[in-house]
Amino acid sequence: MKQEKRDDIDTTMLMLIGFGAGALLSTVFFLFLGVFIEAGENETWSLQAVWSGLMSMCISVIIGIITLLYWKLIASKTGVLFPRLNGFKLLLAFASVVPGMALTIGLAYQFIM
Amino acid sequence: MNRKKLLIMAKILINGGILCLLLLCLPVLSYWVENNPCIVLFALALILIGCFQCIIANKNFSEREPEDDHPKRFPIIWYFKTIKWILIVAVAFHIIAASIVLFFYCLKHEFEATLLVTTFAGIAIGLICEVAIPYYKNSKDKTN
Repeated sequence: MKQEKRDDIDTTMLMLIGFGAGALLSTVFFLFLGVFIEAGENETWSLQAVWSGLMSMCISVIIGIITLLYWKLIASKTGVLFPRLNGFKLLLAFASVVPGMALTIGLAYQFIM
Repeated sequence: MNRKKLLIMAKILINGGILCLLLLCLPVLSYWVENNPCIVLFALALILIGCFQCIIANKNFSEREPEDDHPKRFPIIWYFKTIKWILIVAVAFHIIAASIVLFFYCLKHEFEATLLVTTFAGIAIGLICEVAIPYYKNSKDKTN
């Protein structure tokens, strides 16, 4: 029973980390692939893709800081332990990667590309 | 309603409210950018679960004290380490890509090739000596 109660808040933390991981994934796509795919006729690198990648990285850092504050101010006071990556909650973490990627890629294409 | 119940209610409202605001910002931003309601529905479902979890955790505030084995150090540090390493690997990747591009540029413009290659080789050797010699000396001192 005691062990079950410890896992209570894990989901929220995992969701926030998943969202940040989505942003990080789009960073990887932009910095490693988009740089060459988005390049124009007479250029080797696409500078816009580099900016998009750096912007995605900044967003993932911001989400990381939000998660950090959430953990320090709210979650740690309840006595829960840090999320363990197992079971159904891991699925939720993977699921929240999708909105994270959608946000960063959408932002990049709307404002930078 | 006694004082204890009021306190629990206040904690649920404050902490749940903060979490709701934080998590609501994300799908609202997603919708604003993407105009795709599927993503919002998806994110809202996740938020509902998160808020439910937060309310349950809030109830535990009054029930029990933080335990002794509770980690003091923030354990999300590996997340920031991942970000740092992605940045380092990306920079290294682009330096390698730049050297490959430079190589092909040299092949294309043979006349400038000698000048370019000797300049960059000189800079590279200088940098390596600058870093490697003190590092080698330090490592030798440590072993002694």
